[in-house]
Amino acid sequence: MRSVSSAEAARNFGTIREEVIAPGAEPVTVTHYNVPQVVVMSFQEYKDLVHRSRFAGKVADLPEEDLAFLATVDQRNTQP
Amino acid sequence: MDGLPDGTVVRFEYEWGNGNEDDYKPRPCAIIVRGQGPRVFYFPISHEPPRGDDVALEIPEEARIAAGLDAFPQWVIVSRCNRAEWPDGVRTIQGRTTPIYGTLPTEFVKLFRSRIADVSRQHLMRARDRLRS
Repeated sequence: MRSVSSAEAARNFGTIREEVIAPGAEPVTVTHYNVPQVVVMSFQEYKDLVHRSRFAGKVADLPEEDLAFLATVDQRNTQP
Repeated sequence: MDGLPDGTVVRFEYEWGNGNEDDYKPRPCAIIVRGQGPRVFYFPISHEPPRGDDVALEIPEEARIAAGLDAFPQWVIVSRCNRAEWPDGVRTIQGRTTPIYGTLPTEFVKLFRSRIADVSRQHLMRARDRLRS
């Protein structure tokens, strides 16, 4: 993954934006005093990343394993 | 995470799906926690009454106060959710240092869990019927 300093990122944001939204492009890391601190990526890339570990939608479309858990959640007796 | 109870209301970057303009905008959600992970289910809280075939519970005033919500009528939708690994997507409340608004009272959490279980059982049975046929 290409990395740029925060000074360079501030100067060249337009170029970096063009770069990361190109089809198949990689995100760009922004370093601050040589420490990687920020990642610039396309919104689509961000959504794909989030979706690898998350579910969003109707309860009806949850995987069966999650439905089976939620179907018995009323039998939990832990106090909120 | 450390033992957050079901019915805790947290600020979460909820995704409605279908390219909704409010996707990823953090909003209050009531949680159901699943041990492993820990995996957390986020049920969105809205000032709007449910639309279409959505199932929602209106949150009574005393429950809204306990959960740290504002004074206007609000609903928690139980037919939609997001699932994420804690603390992925959880966001600090503006002007505070915590993502936690408060916790819904015990009686309301019972109702919340039972409506979620009803909706889930219904869909679980449908999913199993589809597999059989």
